[in-house]
Amino acid sequence: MSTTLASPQALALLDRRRFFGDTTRGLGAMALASLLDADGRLEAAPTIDPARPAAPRAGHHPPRARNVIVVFCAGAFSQVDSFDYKPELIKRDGQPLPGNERLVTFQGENGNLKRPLWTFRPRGRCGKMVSDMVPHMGNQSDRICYLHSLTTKTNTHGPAENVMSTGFVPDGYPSIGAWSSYALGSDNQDLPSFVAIEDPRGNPQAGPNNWTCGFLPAQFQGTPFSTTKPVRYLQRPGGVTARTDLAARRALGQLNRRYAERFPGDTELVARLASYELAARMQLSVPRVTDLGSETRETLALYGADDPQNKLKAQFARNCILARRLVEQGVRFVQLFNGAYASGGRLNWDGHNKLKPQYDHHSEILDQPVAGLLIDLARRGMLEDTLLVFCTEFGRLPMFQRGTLGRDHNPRGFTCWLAGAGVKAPFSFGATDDFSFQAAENVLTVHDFHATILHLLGLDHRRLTYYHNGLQRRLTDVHGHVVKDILT
Amino acid sequence: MKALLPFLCVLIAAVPLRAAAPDFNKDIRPILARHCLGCHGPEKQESGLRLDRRQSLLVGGDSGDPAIRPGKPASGELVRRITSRDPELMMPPKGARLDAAAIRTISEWIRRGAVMPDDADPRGTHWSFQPLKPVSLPTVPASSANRIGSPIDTFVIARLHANRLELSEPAARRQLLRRASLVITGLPPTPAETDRFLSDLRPAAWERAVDRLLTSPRYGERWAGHWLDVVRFAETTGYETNTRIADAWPYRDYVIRALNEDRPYNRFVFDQLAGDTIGEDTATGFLVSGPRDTVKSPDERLTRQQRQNELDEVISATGSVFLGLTIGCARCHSHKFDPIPQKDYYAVQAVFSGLRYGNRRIRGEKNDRWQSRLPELRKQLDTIASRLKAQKTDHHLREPIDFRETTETFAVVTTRVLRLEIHATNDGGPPRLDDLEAWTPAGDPKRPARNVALAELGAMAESSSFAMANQSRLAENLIDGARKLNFFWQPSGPGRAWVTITFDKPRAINRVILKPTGGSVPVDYDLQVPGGPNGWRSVADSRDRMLHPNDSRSAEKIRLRDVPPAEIARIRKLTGRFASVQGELNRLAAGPQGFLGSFQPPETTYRLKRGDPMQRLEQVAPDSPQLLGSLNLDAKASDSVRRAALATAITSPRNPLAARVIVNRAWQHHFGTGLVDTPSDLGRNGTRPTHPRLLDWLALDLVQHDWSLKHLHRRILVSATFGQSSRPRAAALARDGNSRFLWRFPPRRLEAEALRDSILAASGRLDDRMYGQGFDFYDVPQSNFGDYVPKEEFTPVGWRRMVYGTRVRLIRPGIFGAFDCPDGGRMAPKRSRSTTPIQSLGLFNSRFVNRQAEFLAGRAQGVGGDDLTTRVQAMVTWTLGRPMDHDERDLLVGLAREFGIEQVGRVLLNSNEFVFLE
Repeated sequence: MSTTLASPQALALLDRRRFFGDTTRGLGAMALASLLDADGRLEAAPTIDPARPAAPRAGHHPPRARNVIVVFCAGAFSQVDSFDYKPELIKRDGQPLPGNERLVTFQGENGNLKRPLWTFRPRGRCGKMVSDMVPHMGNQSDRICYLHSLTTKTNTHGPAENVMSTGFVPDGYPSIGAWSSYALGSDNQDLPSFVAIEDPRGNPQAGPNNWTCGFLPAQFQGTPFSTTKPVRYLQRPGGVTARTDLAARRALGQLNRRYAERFPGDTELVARLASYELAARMQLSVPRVTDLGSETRETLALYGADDPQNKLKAQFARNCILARRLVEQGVRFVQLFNGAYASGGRLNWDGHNKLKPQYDHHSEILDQPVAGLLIDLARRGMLEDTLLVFCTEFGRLPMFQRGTLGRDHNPRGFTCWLAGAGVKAPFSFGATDDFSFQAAENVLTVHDFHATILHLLGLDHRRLTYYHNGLQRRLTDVHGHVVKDILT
Repeated sequence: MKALLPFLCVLIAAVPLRAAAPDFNKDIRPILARHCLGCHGPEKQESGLRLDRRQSLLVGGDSGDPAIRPGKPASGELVRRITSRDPELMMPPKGARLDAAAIRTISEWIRRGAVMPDDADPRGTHWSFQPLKPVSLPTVPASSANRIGSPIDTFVIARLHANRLELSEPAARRQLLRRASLVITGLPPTPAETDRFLSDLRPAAWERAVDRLLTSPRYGERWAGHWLDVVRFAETTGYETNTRIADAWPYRDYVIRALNEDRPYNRFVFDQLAGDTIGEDTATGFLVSGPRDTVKSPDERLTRQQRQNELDEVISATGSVFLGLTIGCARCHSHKFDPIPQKDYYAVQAVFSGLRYGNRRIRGEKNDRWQSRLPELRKQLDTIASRLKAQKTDHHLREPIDFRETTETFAVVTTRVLRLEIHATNDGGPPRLDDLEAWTPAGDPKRPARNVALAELGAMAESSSFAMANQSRLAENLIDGARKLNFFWQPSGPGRAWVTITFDKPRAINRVILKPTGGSVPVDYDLQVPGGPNGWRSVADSRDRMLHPNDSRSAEKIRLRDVPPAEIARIRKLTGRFASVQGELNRLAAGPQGFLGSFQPPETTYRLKRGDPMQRLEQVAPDSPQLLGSLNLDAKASDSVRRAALATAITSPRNPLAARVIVNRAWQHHFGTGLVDTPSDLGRNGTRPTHPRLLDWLALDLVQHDWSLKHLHRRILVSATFGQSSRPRAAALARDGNSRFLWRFPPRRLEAEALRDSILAASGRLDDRMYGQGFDFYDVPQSNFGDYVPKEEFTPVGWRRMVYGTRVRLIRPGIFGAFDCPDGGRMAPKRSRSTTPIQSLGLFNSRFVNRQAEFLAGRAQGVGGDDLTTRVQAMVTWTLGRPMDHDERDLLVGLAREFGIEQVGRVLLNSNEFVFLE
């Protein structure tokens, strides 16, 4: 892991900048600070060195997690059929939901209660009840902290994905990955600090808004790539030899250095100079990290990446391995999508019509690879300081929709889970009512969920701010409480 | 509360009458400071309540209940809480309670009217809310007097002097022209322009150069970009479908045109809020420039929430864009910092409550021309229609298929299965059917006719195939019993297709209804039940129906029972003419269209508890924010009256905010940072201006010069402040590292647009065609979920200026989006300026830039022929605008010789000198 920033020439310029820099920007910053202070809006926002925007930065308190991997099940993953065991629902199969007999939700009217479509069994030493839909994950329950009482603000996919990734219903607010890399930078300067790995089937519903930097500076935007989809413009242009490319790069460096000498102390120029050197190193480091050639056969098998029958599963499994490799390299935040956009439940978890066959298909792709990731992180000791997050935009109702064999959206109660750094396991927190219809005990908002993830990263969600259009904006808006009960 | 009343009455009755009312600062503030202000004061405003602000006391906290009602101590929350013994209510919740004397003093103060220092006037003492008054020019030290080129300089020099700083030396003339050209037009000067300016040694050469820049049509294109950022204009809906809005660009053109013709800024504002009232239709695109969620649902809460969000976009934008006020912050509770009670938010919502997102006719000369052609077209259409009618009668054909809903009736048949076989659609595309209904016979009063093709009766549907798309295109959608957006059946491709409906049990039916839903419509079909030699027997078909005018199949593919081919060809020719005349008629009758918002009678507006659309409080009448005074509108005022009144109030000479805001925005795009660096928030939570008197002087100067923005530009461009060098000086850097006091012209990286346009200008490929439909950065998505794929290659259409590139929300366009382009989600009054390896990769490796580098090299060939040095120099001139020095010549000519001259182009287009504005 290299933290060297730039060539000796660039460093020389940097040193000169630091010479002015630390006095200059110090004093400049002080002048500005006094201006700001007069208005009383100075907050504990991180200070970004423009020449090293991705440099590691300290948070607000010692972190439990250095890195985060978020597995995002796009399309709304059914808690009813997987993790949220409700004997009463099984008992009352076919009866109306008491008090909500003709409930109208996103797609219209609902029918009667419908028991889970898979059998629940005790799993792990802890005996957690998890269904046969996700046996591999279920068997890892001893490592998992389940949150059964999540709620969200909207019952439509795109906006709810926005909430889960950015805290806000509308588009354009920074994502949690962007906030994290803004706050903490990265331990690896040769890779992006925030990577979004798309599902082999396509983009999630809210698309790039899931990894947007919003109004944060562009360097905190998530960089989308996967084992099947390369970083754009990573390689030199077609028809240009390596030798030519190097010569052009050198000539550019020379021109830029001469130019920067005319502006001693100007950090933006030095930063641009350095960015070409970073880009050159990224050209080497990205292919290295996405090449799974060095993974053992046993590891590939653990994730199901060698599955010859199920190509999608193998591809998603390779993305899971990539997530681990990125974190190994010090990438701060990895978002790993399972499921694409709404498609009548064919490409993601939106099981309105034929939930059973569709979920059989999707869970086959999801289950073993995610369980494999969890096992692999644990056995490599990485779970000590890596947080694995399993989430979705909202849950599904315990009824079938009128006239279909599937379930409508349920923002009132759904399950997410955490595993790894700083989180109790095995543990279950919060609960829905007897039917998995709405959160009833220790009700959590997505803001609480975010506050807790930031807390584990060493960040106080109330102090992590960025001024935009009249407000010190936060990931958690003006809400959110750290769920202390689940912390070790 | 009831239990509390007697106690209160006693308490208040016991207050002795005093000659003088308690004084807030002397008597009340100390009590509050001791017990209350820790949580409800300047530092913290728990529940959104601040007790040392009268406004906050009057409006109350998040609950919306006033903390005090002047004159009525018993009916406000404040006294209620400090006297309560209910642990849920009482204040303070912990620590010492207020003693009886303190409670008496507070009650008496409220009874006497609760007079406070910033009483009555919501403007208080905050700088930006104060009226604009003439500002005298500061005196400047004699040593700097010779530098003054514009009154602006006196303010800047005085401020520098106070901080022991001074202006830098004037920039070199070549540099100055390049700077001004990039700032004003977004393009570098051409070599000819540079030569002309450098050789103009007469007095006022610079003023002439400035005038030339300001009259260039490139000016409007450049500054329209800044404006469109502020209003987060884009040409897709945003949110998950992110659908293209085809007719949004007329608003973009309005902005460019208005800026180029130097429309007075007050008029520019009015146009955008109420241009429809004065024949400026395209300006109202502003009102619908925000994102909106188009996914509809029967869920009432979601539907109301979406409407609230739509209106919030225009309320927030109006506040931030024109007033620098974050009115949007008062949606759920009164503003925490500014005097904007929650009621103001809903009063402004009432102003816009007639607005709907959608297209509107653009009136004017073009529309008049179109309308004048209608009578002639109607006559033509009538003639063709009567000939078609004769054909129908002659050939004994039934009515054509109805594209919205077609009914087929037949003799009663009892069947378990109904099959629809589709042989062809009107335009060859895959059919779209919303529902397929099968009705039982009418006539028996005990068993009225009903549709039995319903999933809820146990029917099931299957089809030959279905399309993959949003929310599915499954056969099940045919029997869901409702017309629902996005829920229809469509096969996976064109050609023959079938659907079967299996009823729960054999059913007697005699009527089938097909309900197409836009798109392709089945025009050749059979309705079948089991039987016959092939397994199916037709009970009805479409082939005895007259041809539909919108059936665009070629004649030889059309089957009409008992009509010979020659006759079919004749009918087809007639229907073709009918369709084309009707199409033209419809188009012209609708007039030219733009996505400019449509206006309907206003909805009733309610204040919402915590902004929750399900919790309506009292009705709210249309009005401006109280800071601007009242609009005094009748509650029944029409939509256009409401908007026009607000627009007038915003640009009224009594409102100082509009001028201050626009002057600051203009300043920002000259110098990189505004005098106030929170350009859409001049309220209490924004920053204070670095040069408050300068800002006011410029604002008043703007108003006094008929709100002319070009006048403002000229003021700035001829100043010594703008004209000084950008080179750093160590001592000055040490004092003011961010150059906020303007001891130099602060250098900065070009924005994405200026960078892309400059590349195209240098390569000679810039297409400077103005206005109209834009070009695309993306290939049109296959699904209706915006997976917009960036184009690698651009045809010359894509070499227009970037302001004409279609703005897609959520996505930052290709290579250049990485240079901090906003994504159209939130308003972007200023862009961040970041430097990332992703930018470098795009600019160094992309096909787009390397192709332009080749063009640049090719262009140089035309000038320099075989002489490599001349060619390289030409490339340097087009990119950096100057001669090479000795070392550069060695470096670049050497590179060209060994590795190809296009590599020189690649290097120059990536160089800091090209990318930076200095």
